[in-house]
Amino acid sequence: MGVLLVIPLVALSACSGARNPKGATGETAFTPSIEATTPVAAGEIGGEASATPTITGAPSGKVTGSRSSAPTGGSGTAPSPKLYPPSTLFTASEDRIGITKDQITLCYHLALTYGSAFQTGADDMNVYYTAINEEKGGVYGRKIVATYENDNYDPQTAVQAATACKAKNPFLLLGGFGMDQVPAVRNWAEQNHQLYLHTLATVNGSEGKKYSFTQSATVEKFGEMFAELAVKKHAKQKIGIIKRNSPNWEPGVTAFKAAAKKYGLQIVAERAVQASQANYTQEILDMKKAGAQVVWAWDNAMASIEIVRQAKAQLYSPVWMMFPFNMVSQTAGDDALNPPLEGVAAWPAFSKGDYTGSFASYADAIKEFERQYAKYRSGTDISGISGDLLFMKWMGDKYLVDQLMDCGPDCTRNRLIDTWHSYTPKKIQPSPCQIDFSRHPNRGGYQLSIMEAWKSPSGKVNWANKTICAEHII
Amino acid sequence: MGQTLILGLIAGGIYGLFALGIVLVYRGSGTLNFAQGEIGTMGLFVAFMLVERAHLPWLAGAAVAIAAAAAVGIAFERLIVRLMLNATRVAVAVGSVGLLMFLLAVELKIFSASPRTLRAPIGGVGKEILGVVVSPTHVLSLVVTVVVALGLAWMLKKTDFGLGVLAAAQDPVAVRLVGVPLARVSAFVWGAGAAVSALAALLVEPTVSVFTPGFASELFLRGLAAAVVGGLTSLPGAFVGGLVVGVVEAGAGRVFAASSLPGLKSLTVLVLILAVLLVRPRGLVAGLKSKEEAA
Repeated sequence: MGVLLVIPLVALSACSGARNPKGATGETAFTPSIEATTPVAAGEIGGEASATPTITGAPSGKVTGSRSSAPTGGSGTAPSPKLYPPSTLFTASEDRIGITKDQITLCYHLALTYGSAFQTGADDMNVYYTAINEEKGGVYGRKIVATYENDNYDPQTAVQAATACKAKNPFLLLGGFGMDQVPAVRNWAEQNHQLYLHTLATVNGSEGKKYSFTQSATVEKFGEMFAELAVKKHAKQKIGIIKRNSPNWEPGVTAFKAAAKKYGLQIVAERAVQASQANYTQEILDMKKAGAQVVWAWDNAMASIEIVRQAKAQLYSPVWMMFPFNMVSQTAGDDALNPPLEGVAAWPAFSKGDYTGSFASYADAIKEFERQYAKYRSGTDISGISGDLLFMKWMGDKYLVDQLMDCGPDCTRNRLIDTWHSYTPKKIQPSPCQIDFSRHPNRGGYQLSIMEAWKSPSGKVNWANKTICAEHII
Repeated sequence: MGQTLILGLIAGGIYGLFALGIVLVYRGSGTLNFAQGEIGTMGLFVAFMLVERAHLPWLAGAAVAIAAAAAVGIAFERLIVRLMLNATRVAVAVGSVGLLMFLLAVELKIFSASPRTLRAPIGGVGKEILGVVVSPTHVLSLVVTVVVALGLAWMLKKTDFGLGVLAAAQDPVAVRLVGVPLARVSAFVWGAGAAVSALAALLVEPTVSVFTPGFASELFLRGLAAAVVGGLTSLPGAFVGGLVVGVVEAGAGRVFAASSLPGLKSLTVLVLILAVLLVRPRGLVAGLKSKEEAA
């Protein structure tokens, strides 16, 4: 009944980022960060524009110490970088496509159509790049030009969008959030020799793909983490699953059930729903009848809202686990609080104007984000349902810029791959999840964060961090 | 079984209401208005602005929304349909697809695709019947559907204007000859069809809980299925067709609950339509239709 309104998450080049603020043992770690407003040497990130950059190697920036105070520690393993031979994936003629002495061309495929669900357009997404170009002169004097092609949250359209991107000769193709689009574009990138950095997607289907990279945890990892959340908080309770009927979602369920079996969780009901099903009464009644006390809603934001509200109408209030978007919590309102929704994400929570508590460890980044939006996109309501998504995109852009800086003034596609393989983003905030390509040359994300719906002092129901970046929570 | 029936009746009542609008337009103009669902969504946005933003009573917001929907239907008839008097009926249907796209674009531009909520016409928790909480709005939907169906059926059967509507698509010359203004008939069916869609959208929104552009267009497809099952030209048939589609869909949901094959519920509805077209092409309630036609 509702229009197909799936998660039009803005493109996120790197929704995982810096090392875990707490180390493998859960100890608080010293996390250096760059102060964005601090003048630094030309050519460095945050430095003045320079037509003839002189810096070689990684940026050094003015580094200031800041002690992270994540709410609870994760148990992620410390990365043990494995040395890969220098990349030769791209031929000499392909290696410098999209990068000139004064420009780096990026192209994203994402669901612009549904971006309006989050009240965002392409201009809202370029704020970090605008700030870098305007305030810092770009990356080694190169302006970042990012454009967006609408994939309509559809695999076929995503391939068309990627083809349109290719026509622009981008240095890098980036994928917006969309578990259904990425696998199709992954195949396309392989055939078209496009360097592709994508977000959340299945491991399944990625085998042998050389041109696609991700710094986000996989669909399978999400499934496992949702199970761990259930074990950690609701071990003795009956679990229900309402899942999207899709091969691009199912591997998450398989991982969930494997972990559930391992830890002895009791799954009492499992129901598949279609995209945009809109009416979930039958599935809700099935959960209720089975006595599910905790229900994992493995579907997009719009479906999650409908499920929660329709369950309330059926006088059914289990603990809901789902993707934690402000769109869900704000639309559900107080329904999101009784009991609080629980979520697993590859990004830290955002709630405009909240800098303390679980936000304290990256409060400076939140302030920087808010300052840039006030300056460059003052009309964008970052306190509303799009705030967390824009923060996520902004953070991803920030990490990509950091990686381009690490890549150096002579950056090429092959060198960028080498950079990813050894990247340790220890310099900047927010310092979310570690990037570790030592386990697989094309996959670098293994950590996730746990969140809970929470009423902010502003009165809006948003999400707050419970655990920031952990590979396992039990 | 009982639960499936309750769920089917709740959904079927709404499908029936949409089907009534479809049948009305089809009877009066011989074509389908594919924008009908989206006109209903537009009505929801109007109600949203008045009820949630301007804090007017639900009834006032609904009344304006229905009036606005009717106005859009009438405007389309005046500006497009009337100019296509000599065009094929298929061409008019295609024109209505244009209206659908236009409305979607306007809604997205003005309101964005962000999910909105609209309060229910009647508060209260509702009553649990066979494990399903049936809200006062659910009951209201069924009652309204019956009342609208009966009211329209009476009007079409008992008034000259109504008889003109029934005959308009088949013999427009005869309608003119008996003194019924064809232009008014055409405006009425397009306007009333749109108004009924807005009413249906207003009544179903509390069940789904949130709406976005395109919300009622998907419901329209179920309404179309109901109309086809009911014979496409019968108002009582539309109502019964809605209930049948609702119950069959709910039953399919129950039977295929554990299946991992996608789209089985929708497939079942399509099979139902196919079966009806093959076995009873004039609809499940052909007898009722005959009486109506005879009148």
